[in-house]
Amino acid sequence: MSVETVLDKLREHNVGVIGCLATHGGASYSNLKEPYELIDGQSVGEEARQIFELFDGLEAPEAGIDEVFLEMRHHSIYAHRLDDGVLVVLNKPMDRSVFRRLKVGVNLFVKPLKRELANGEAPAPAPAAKVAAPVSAEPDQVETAPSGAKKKKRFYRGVEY
Amino acid sequence: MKLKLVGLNGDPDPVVEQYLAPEEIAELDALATDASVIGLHVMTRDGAMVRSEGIWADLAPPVFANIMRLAARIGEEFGEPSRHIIAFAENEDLETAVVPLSQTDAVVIRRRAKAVGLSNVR
Repeated sequence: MSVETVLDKLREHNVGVIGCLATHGGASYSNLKEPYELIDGQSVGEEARQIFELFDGLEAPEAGIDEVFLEMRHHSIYAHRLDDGVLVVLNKPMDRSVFRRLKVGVNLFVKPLKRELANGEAPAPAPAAKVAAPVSAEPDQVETAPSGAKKKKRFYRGVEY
Repeated sequence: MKLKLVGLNGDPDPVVEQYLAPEEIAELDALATDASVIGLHVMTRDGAMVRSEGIWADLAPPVFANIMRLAARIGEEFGEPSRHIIAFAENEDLETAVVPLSQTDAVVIRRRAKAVGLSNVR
């Protein structure tokens, strides 16, 4: 799975999300489409990062602020601080109660996104070819272990369980 | 917490009156009586303090003015023409909201209610 795939999944699984962009170090990833495809992800990411730094300067007790929601007339924007960058989610206009629900949905993808960003541009290994086991109506089979000892395996319609 | 929107004699503060409409003063005064509100700041768009009470009293006006300036720039990137932006930020302990008023921005900082389980009581 790539960073773009995670961003696509984030958009598909959350109603109201127009698109999102993520920055990590000097790289930026985006799945924003027309009319937003020309938006400079690095510059938006830098502005969001500066907002979090300003909050850090306030010395919020116990924990820093990692999430900011901006409610505008035509859009709403959710920014989430990552380890070495930010995730910016562009949404349709919504109020804060909807944002709380959206936040839960978006945060599900933060962990895989961090993992993929950490992996960087390393090519993902090709998925192993799946060979579907033929559906069999036969009763449980007995498979012989390499050592020669008989080990019983349990199958349901050809799939071991 | 009480936001001091009046002068020493109880007369309206001229500085506050210059920047806030009477309805806004009444609204902010009501908000200030809420026990969960631990900080309330009113500042101009340039970051000049109009009134500042509670947590981060000295720091808040310029910092939040800069935050709103950055928020407006993000809005511009996405083609948002208006500077009418409401910002929310929260962590485990605090909720912060920046609300635009007619001439100023108001920052409300609220302590979050925490559920106390039986294990905490014992």
